[in-house]
Amino acid sequence: MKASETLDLRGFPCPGNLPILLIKLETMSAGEMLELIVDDVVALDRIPMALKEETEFELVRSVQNNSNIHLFIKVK
Amino acid sequence: MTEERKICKRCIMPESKPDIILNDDGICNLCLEHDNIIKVQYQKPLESDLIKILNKNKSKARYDCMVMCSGGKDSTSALYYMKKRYKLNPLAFTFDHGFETDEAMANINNAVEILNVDFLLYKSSYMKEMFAKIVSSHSKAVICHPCSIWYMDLAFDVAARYEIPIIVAGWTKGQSTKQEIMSKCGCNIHAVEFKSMAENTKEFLNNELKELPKYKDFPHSMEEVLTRAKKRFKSTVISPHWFLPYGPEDYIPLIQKELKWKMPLFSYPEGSTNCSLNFLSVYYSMKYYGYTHYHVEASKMIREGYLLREEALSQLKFNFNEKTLQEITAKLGLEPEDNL
Repeated sequence: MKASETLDLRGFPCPGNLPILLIKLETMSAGEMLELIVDDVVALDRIPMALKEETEFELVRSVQNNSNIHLFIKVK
Repeated sequence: MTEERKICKRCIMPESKPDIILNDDGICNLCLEHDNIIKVQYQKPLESDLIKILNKNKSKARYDCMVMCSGGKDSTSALYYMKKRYKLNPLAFTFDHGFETDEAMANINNAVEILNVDFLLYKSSYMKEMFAKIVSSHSKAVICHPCSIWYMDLAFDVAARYEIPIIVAGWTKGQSTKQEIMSKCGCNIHAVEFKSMAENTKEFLNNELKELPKYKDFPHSMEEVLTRAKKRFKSTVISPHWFLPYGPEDYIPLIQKELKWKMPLFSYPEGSTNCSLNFLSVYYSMKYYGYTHYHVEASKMIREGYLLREEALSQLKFNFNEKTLQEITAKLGLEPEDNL
């Protein structure tokens, strides 16, 4: 899965990582994919829920690799 | 009005157990938590990010954006930036629940006239009964919280009607930094310092409001507002103040010169342009919690290095008296002696 851009927010827990993510997504164009890397396990639930309930961005895939969580988010 | 409480030596939060606790050195748990978070570096939003967002959404509808104008320095400068700095076609939008001040309205009228932008004023007494219920029922709900739910729902509704992709608020860094800013209102009700306030507001909306059938469709949370908004039309909420390196010391002289903006003589906190009901909201927050959301915002700005502790203490000195509170209570149709 190829991402157009990567945002590394490891060390930055929820909910503080959400606004930074949303600002990043808002700067991207339709069709582009962002790879978000976080290490707060709460993000696994919280970010997909916020994306689904409150935004038009689509979570395409999530991968947990040791303590790192990679979320692939598509801009519609 | 205020009971003497121990105040954090670094920010201005008072001790309020169990949510806010001072350690032996007099430092609160919020400051200590901030010490840990600040070690992580991240790229703060830049003006180039704001320009990307604005350009992406430009010329999609009759209006490029809708600016929520309160008549205060932050939203007036936001309107100025949208029109003059970014050359957009904004719709200025103001709501008046019956407690807006003449000074605020004069600032808005001057700004929209000078900038030559379309202006929509929504005036309604719809919320008056709810405000009165909060006071008369002695609920610990914070008056500003249901009001922010109402005005955000209204803002999304108006933006949807005109298919406006961007809603611009005048929220400052203290109201936004490290909060759920793009999706939520200025206050993050999930933060520990808002926990008790949020629980009491939720309790009021879920239970006591049932006694007033006219509010049966009133959203019970900001999450519900956002879910409803998403179904109507997707608008993104941003504030230029999150991205720009300028503070009030830069944009106040600008709007004074360009938009004839005037600092209100009487508002809380000093230098703000809040509605008159805000005095009552502040009074009850102090009574029930020992602090207000202004103390929370100022404390955040102190921690982030945007405000000096001494400045914050000066701005948040109480500048109103019982007579002011009596007048507002009477305007709600309530007897002051039963409610203050």
